[in-house]
Amino acid sequence: MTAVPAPVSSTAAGALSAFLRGVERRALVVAELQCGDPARAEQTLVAVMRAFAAVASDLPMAQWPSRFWTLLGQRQALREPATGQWPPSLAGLGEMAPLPRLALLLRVGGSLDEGIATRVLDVDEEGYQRLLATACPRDADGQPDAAAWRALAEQVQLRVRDLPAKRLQQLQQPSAPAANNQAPASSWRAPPRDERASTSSKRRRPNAKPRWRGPVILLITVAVLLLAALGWRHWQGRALTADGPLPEGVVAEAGPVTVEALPASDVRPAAGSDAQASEDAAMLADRDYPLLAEADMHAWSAAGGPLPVDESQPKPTRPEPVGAALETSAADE
Amino acid sequence: MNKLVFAGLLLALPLSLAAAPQSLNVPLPAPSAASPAPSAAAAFAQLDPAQQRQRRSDYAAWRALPEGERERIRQAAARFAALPADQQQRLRVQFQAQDQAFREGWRLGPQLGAEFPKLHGLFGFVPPQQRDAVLTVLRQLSPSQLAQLALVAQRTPPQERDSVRSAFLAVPAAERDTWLKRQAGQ
Repeated sequence: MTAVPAPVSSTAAGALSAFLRGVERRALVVAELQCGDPARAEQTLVAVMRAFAAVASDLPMAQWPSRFWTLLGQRQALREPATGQWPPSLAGLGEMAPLPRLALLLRVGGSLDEGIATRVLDVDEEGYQRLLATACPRDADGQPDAAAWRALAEQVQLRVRDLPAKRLQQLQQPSAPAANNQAPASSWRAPPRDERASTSSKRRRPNAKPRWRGPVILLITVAVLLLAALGWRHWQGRALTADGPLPEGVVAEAGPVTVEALPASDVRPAAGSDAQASEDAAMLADRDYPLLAEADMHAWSAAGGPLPVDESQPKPTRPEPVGAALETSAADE
Repeated sequence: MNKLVFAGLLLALPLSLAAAPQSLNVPLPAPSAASPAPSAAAAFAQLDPAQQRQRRSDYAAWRALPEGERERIRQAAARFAALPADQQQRLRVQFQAQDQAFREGWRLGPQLGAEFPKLHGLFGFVPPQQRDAVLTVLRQLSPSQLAQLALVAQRTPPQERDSVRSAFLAVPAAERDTWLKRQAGQ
């Protein structure tokens, strides 16, 4: 067996850059709303992106999301945020304990599935659901408030969508001179993982809720909502049959709204698709349209049909780093 | 009604609240039948929405090519059409077997397409607002400048790509040689 270091081909580098691009918007919002401090969040995310870029080539791409979010989620800035500030629409976040807040943000801001979120938070499935239940806003009676949860999720999503491109560009600026960077780097770098895990679990223990509470709260929410929905439907059905025959053209009535069928001729494409249709017509009328589908191949053959060099094979002409060569020969022995 | 209620109920459940989908694929209506090239229009209408979008973006790329590049492609297409079917098929297979990023590079024309695999790191993912500027500058470069830029692209670590690209775009044409030499030497 030969241990060949994973080659960083331009495709792999492109994939890494595409991955970071796909994740940075969500990651910045999660970090920012977790810390309550945009500057600290940016600083943290830049460090995480750098750390991730250094290890990504050694990982299968399938593990990238989980590793990236774990690197981010384990940062001290996110695990033990200092007092931060939240916009008024998201003030509820500031009142939560850090860990439930992170669980909520990873879900509604990071759009992470349960498998990745549990790894990032270092909890089992039950623990994760408990954190989410803790993060769920309560109504006046202390019951989980589904509408408030949804509103919170929408606010977070809105931030992800509306994040100015300038903020993202700032992430990609080369960081300040290394000398400046050195000191803060050690201060906001998270302590080793196991140490932190044990302290945080110790801290969670005293005010941890009984294990059955999360699922029970959820079950009650489901039952209440189901009952409400059934009741509403029943009431709607009665209201509908109680009324006389519907006027002509009316399909149904739902409270103050009268639902009418549109005449077929009224269904027209929107103005946007009209413009689209005329652009399409111009394209189809172009004499070069027939060669469009394979224009890439024709351009390639016009250039003589060169094939890319296979970068996955080590080439004797390219000097290998000395360390890598030694490692390879050592592994061969 | 029933479905609406149920969907509302699902949405209301905290744990079923997954994030909104990243993008929605709304099928586009087929273009009106009264277009000047009936056979092309009919064939286009047969394509699924994703293929139609692809064709539109192919056309946008085609229109962005300088006329000289378009002419080279037309000639190549004519030569290709003259080949026997089995040779056409062989070329198609050979091209299709290549990596997608490699194939997409050729949409930039024969000249840039040849350099694209090497430039991909720096110019493979460009913000929409930089796209036109990038293409304009790349088309102005001489072959030796392109070769140096390829070196720069290969030596730039991923996290610095955006800043290096922006810096390159900001360099006046007369100073590009100096900039490229300095940057490639780093």
